[in-house]
Amino acid sequence: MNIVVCVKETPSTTAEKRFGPDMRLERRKEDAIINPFDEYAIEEGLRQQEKHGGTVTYLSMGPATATETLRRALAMGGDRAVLVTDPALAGSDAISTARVLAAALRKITFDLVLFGSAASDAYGGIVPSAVAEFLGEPLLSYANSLEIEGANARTQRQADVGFTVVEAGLPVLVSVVKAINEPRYPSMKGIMQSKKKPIDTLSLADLGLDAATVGAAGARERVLGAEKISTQRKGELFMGNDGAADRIVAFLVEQKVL
Amino acid sequence: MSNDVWALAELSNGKLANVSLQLASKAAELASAFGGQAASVALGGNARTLADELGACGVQKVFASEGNVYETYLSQPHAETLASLIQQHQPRLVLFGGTNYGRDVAARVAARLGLGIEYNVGDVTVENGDITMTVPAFGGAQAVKMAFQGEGTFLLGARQNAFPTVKRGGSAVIEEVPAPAEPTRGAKVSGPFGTEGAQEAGHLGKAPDGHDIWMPAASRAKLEEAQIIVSGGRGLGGPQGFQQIEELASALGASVGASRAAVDAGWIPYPHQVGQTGKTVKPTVYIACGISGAVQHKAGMGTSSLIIAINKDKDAPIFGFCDLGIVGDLNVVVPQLTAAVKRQKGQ
Repeated sequence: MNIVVCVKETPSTTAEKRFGPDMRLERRKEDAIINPFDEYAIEEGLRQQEKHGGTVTYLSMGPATATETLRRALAMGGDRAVLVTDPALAGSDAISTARVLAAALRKITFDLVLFGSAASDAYGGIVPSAVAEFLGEPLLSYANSLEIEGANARTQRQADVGFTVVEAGLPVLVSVVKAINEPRYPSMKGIMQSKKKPIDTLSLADLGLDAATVGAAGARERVLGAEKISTQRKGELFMGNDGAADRIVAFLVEQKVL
Repeated sequence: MSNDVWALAELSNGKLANVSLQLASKAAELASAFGGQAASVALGGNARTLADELGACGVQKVFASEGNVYETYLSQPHAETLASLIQQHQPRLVLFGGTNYGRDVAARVAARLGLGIEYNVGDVTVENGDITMTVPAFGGAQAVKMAFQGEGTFLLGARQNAFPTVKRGGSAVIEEVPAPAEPTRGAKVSGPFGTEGAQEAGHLGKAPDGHDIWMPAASRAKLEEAQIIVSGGRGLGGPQGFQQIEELASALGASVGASRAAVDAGWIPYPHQVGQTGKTVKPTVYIACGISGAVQHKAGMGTSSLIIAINKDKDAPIFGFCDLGIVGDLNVVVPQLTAAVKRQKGQ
C-alpha cells in the first residue's frame, strides 16, 4: 500500500510568536517543529504500513529548511519525503496550500493520504477537505480509528457524543484526531537511518502550477493589523476551604444564575 | 454579485443546531448592512420544516434541499448543492459554523469555486461595504484584523459561539432545491451514531492507553450550547475525580468540560475538551476545577460571561482572569458546593 502523510512545519507551541513587518507570522528555523497534530497522522501511517506493507512518504510544503523537520518525521519511520518549496509559495493561504498539495499528490501514487485535522499555528482545519475536493476524492475526516480491509477504509468519525462509522473505497484521504493513537518517539536507530532516507524537492514549475494562484499573489485574505486583547474581570479571591462553597453560591445568586 | 448574505444551517437529528440560529442572526445583520437579503441554506431530512425557526432570526429566505443523500454521505453532496446555489445567485458572503461539518463543506466549496475563505472569525463588521474580520491569534492574546481581497463570494467560518442568536420575529419563504445524485466516490456513513462499543450506559470504550472511557450523564448536553459548564483538569488527580464534577454539574444543570491535560490522560473523552485544540465555549458561568488556566485553555473559554476557579495553587494563571477565585482544595470545596447548590435550589 502506498501511504502518504502530509506534514506541516509549525512554530513550537511554546515559542514566542509575533508578526513581522509584512504582518506574517515570524517563523524562526530554531522554533520549527512537526505540527503536533500531524504526529498522529505519521503514527497512523506507520501502523498501517506495519499491518499492510508498502511505503510511507511524507509530503510537505514549506521553506527549504523544512527538510530538517521532514528528517525528524523520517526518524519516526517511513521511507522518503517530498518537499514542495519555492520562493513564490511564501504567504500562501489554506486553499493555495491545498492546491499545491493536491498537485504534488497527483505526482505520487497513493492509496491512502493521512492528515492531522488542523495545524497548531492557525487552527483553520480546512486543508484536508480542500485537498480532497481538488483531487475529487472522498475524505474520511476527524477519524479516531482507521481499519483498512482490502480496498475499503473504515473510520470512526469523532462526533459530539460518541462517533459515526464512515467508510470509503481506496484511494482515500483521512484526517485523524488525537484519540486515534499515541505517537512513538524516534529511536536512536531511527535517527541514524533517517539520514540516509531520500528527500526530494519539487518547485512550482515541477508541479505545473501558475505562481499567480499561490503564495501572497494568490492569497484571498490579508492582515490589516493586530492588537492585544485585554479583558476586565472582577478578580475576587477567596482564601481557604471554609465558607468557599457558600461564597460561590452567594456569588451565583448575586449574578442571578441561581 | 448580489448584496445577499447566507448562512449554512446545521441539522442534528432533524433539528437545527444552535449554530444555525446564531449564523442566521448574523447573516440578517450583515445583509442589512449591505442592503441585501439574508438567507439560510438547510440541507437534509426535513429542511423545509425549519424555515419558521430560521425566519424568526431574520433571514428572508431558506434554500431547503431534502434527500437521504445528505445523511448518507459526508460533505460532498452538501458542497455540491451549496456551490451550485452560490454560482447561480452570487451572494456576497456565506457564513459557516466553527464545526467539523462547517469546515468540511466550506473547504470543498472554496476549493471548487476558487473562493476566499477565512476561518475562526470571532467578529465581523461591515463599513462602507468593506468586510473586516477579527480573528483571535496566539491563544487569544491578540486580535488580528483581516480583510478579503479579490473577486467572488467570500466564505466566512465563525468561531464556535462567536455570534449570539437574535430573535427578530420575521418569517422566511422556502425555495426548494433538488438534492444531487449520490457521489460515485464518496465517504459513506455506514454506522449508527455513537453506540458502537458503548453498550453500557455512559461507557464509550477504551482510551489509547487502555483506560475505560466513559461519559458522565450530565455531559450529554452539547458543550458548545451549555449555559453552565463545570470543567475539570489535572488537579482532579484521576478519572474518578470527574465523579464529583459530574455531581456538581447535575446539581447545577450544567455540562462537563475538561482541560487538555485531563483528556490526554484518558480521564474523560476528547469531545469534552475545552480550549484551543478542543471546543470554544461561551457559557454564562464557567467553573474551572483544578485547571491551571494555560493560555491554550483560556482560548476556549476566556469569553465566558463569568468565570469561577477553584485551585489549590494561588499562583495558578487562572486566578488572573476569573471573576471569583477560590484558593482551596477542590476535593473539599466541590462536594460542599454540590450540597450548597442543592440546598439553594430546595432539592
